[in-house]
Amino acid sequence: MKRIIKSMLLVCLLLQGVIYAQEEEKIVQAKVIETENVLADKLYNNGIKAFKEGKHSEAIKLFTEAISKKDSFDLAYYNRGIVHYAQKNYDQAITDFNEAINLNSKNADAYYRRGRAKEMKGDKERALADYQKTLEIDATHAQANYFLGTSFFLNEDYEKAVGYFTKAIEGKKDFAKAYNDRAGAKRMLKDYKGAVADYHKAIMYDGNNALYYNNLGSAQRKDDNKRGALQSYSKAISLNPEYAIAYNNRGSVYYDMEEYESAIKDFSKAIEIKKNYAYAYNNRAAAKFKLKKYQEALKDTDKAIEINPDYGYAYMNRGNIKEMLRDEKGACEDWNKAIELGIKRAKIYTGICH
Amino acid sequence: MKRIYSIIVFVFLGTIVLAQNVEFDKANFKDRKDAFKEAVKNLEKGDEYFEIGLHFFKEALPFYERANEFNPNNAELNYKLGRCYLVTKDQRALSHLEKALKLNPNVAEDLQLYLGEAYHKEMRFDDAIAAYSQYQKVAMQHSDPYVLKDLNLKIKQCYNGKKITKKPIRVFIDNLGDNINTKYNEYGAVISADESVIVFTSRRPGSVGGKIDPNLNEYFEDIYIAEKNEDGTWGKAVNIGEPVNTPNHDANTGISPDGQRFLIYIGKKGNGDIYESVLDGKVWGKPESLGKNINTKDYHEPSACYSPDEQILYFVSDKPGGKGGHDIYYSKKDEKGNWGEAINIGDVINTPYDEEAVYMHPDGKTLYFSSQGHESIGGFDIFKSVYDEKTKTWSKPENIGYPVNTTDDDVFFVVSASGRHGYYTSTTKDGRGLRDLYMVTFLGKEKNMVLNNEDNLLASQAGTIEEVAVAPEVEVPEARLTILKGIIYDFKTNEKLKAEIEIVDNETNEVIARFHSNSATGKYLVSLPAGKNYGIAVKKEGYLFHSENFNIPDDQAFQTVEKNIGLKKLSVGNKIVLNNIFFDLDKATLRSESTAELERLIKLMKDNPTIVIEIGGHTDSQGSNQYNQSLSERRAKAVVDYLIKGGINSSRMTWKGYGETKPIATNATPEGRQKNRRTEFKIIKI
Repeated sequence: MKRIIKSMLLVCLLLQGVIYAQEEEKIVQAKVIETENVLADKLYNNGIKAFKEGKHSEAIKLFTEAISKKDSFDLAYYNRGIVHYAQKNYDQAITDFNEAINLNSKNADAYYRRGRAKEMKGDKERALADYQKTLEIDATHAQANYFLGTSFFLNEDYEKAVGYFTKAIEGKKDFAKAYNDRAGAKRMLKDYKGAVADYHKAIMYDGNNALYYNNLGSAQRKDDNKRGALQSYSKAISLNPEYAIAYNNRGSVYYDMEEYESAIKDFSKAIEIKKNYAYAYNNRAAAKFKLKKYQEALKDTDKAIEINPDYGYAYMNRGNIKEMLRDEKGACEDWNKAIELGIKRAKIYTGICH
Repeated sequence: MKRIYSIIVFVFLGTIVLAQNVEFDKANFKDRKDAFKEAVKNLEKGDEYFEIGLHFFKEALPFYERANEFNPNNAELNYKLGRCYLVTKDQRALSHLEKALKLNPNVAEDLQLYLGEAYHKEMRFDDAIAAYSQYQKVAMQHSDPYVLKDLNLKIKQCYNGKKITKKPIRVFIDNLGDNINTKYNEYGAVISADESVIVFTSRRPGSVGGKIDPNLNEYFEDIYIAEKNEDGTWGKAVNIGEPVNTPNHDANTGISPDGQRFLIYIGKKGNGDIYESVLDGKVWGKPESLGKNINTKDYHEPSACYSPDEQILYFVSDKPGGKGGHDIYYSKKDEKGNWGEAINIGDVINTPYDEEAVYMHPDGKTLYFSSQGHESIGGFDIFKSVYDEKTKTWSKPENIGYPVNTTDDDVFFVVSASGRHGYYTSTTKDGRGLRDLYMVTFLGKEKNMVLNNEDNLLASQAGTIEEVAVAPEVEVPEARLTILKGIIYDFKTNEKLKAEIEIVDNETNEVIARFHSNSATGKYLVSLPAGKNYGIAVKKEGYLFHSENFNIPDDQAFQTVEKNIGLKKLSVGNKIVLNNIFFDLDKATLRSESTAELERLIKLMKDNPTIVIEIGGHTDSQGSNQYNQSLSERRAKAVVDYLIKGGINSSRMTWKGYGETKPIATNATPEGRQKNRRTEFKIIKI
């Protein structure tokens, strides 16, 4: 009996030993994981730091190491995706965002970022789907709302664009770009007063952006506030003295105000900045036409057409100039060419062309 | 310091001296006796001409100018110089009249009137109104109703001038050049509808008779004609010669659209009538009076024009019973070809003032005339009024605008069929002297230049959004006319023919007008307003008639169609296409628009009772051969049946269907197919 009891005790001890050894390994294992995770987290944080310092390759290396040290490290995938995106490696970015989403389907930002990468690749449809997904998770996501707004804008659905820009602004009160873009959509909807108000907001949150001032000028011009438009364009030019578009716009306001000499100066400056600026040549021709400087105006339309041989309005304008130069045949040829290029209004001029 | 004072005193005195009237009194020129005598002589010589009347003011001027050189500070001389220059339309009038006023405001009772006229001419309307108003006070004392009426008119014209000159119309104004204009007076140009012939009046030397009118101190009027060269310039104008021109005044006033007949004003003392001369080949016929319904015994009929179909005559008369002064009347041609009773065109157009120089545009509804009334800005201005066929009313006359109308007399305005050009008389700009003929090119409302702008509307996008900024356009109205012209000739010999051109409204089957081509040149011209289906038949005895169809839609813009027509003799084998026979779609039912052509055919058969003909039907290639064959046969037979009903013996006619076998044009285009679908008429036997 004693022998039996002894044997049983031995077995128990042995079993205990086995059990103990197994648990110890577990503990060790857990400790290793814990250590690795800590390391991964550290690498991950260093990755972020490197990215912020603009060291993109190092950041990718650090995130990759972090991923190798920690299972299902969705945030590391996400951040590595962001670095790839910054490097314009959109395919790799998309792969990383895919993984981040696989690991955490509630990561709204991962959807949003993947959408951006897809949009940059030109895949607008899938990008839109990702933005929509982002909003399903977080309806107040300012950026997703903003880019949905821009994509509706580009599809010329300005009403919807205004809606998304508004949500973007609700999500981020000082979102200057969203104000600017909403103003643009309002402008396309001919709500010039609304546009002017939004441009003022954009300028309130970002007062050094020449673009906003230029756009404000254009909305004011549309709203028949010529003086205001002049001031806004001038401010845009003072913020960015190489802003050819703003010169072309300011010249057009001077033209509206029948101050043709000032208009010519601005169009000339626009041409000086942007050598082949067909619009500015065409517009300068219009101002010279008004001053009855027909020969000079003709040269400008010639140049505009040389730069852009399909420039219908320049043909139409050149026809008008040729008529005043008593070249009826030439005028008719130009008006007909304008019609051919889709400028229907030239048709009413060709009545004299027999 | 003393020196400065003396200079100031001198300047002050100088000013006073300048403003003082200096009489031609020898006491004032003690030290310049000889020069004084000479000046007085000049003054007297000038006065001799001045006193004869307006037409001799021009001759007074050199004498007055010499006297004025001697003594520039005489109020009366300045007044007279001002008046002379007013008549010769010289800008110097104003400065002399202003000086006369400064030297002596009471130099003449009517000084303010002429000052007003001088300001008026210079388009200083406010100053003119002030001067006229000053003179009104003087005129009131005499209470002469004519003077007061004239003054009121002038003041009203100044107010019109203020309004109308604010919005000048866009035109080019070109002198017609040395082949037309001389340093003498040219005026009253009329043109053919296609602007290829111009007829006008001139008082140049070399006139028939070659004499100077003692009353007007100018050569007697004669009529001249010029034709346009191929390069668009005018050929040398030639005197149209006798019998049209006589040693007396002969002035043209109207021309038919084809340039084959024109209207002449022949002036007689206290009277003046309208005559007509017709071109026969190359010879203008002796002018014939338009008869008692147009011309009156004791009154003036100075101007007339034809409607484009030559069925209505518009003319001007000052006979009693009008609205005042010269009025515009119209008369319709009766069935015998005589002008019917004259009817006053009504007070939408006629005013208590003079209406003159009437001209009907080839569109048959736009009347141009000159008037001192309506919204004239001075003297006669040119107006237009449009007749509305539906309401049978004339539109309110519209001043055609500055700078064509000026504060001077603007008369004799004619407009080309295209509406693009006007021809008129003016003394302005690069003149060859006195009145010259000018062409106005209408440019319509200012054409907008289109500006292009662009903006980066989206902050996150690189692309720009472009915008076109432009004011809305205004459509330039233009005449909706088709000018059909060409030469009519013998198909075989090429000889130019005088033939009758009959224009039929195919909807009503009525003959709208009849014209003749010129016997020497074979030329013809007809103007067809848009919106009708015209059948045109060219007929000449001994020839098969030729028919053309012109369906001109309402929105057809102005066009000139040149169509030379070869007439075929009535001989065996000759055939013509009957372009004005129409069938219902895919049927052999004759449409009512075919009536005139079918009646023409009946008349031809009756006039030539021996001829035997074949009517041939043709189709295009659409549809099956069999179907086309059958359709063409049925259609040919339908024509023959109509002729039988019209009294033509069936033995004189055969009919045949050719189906699609004898195309005369391609079947690949709609135009070609239309030509192929036709009915022909062929002479089998004579």
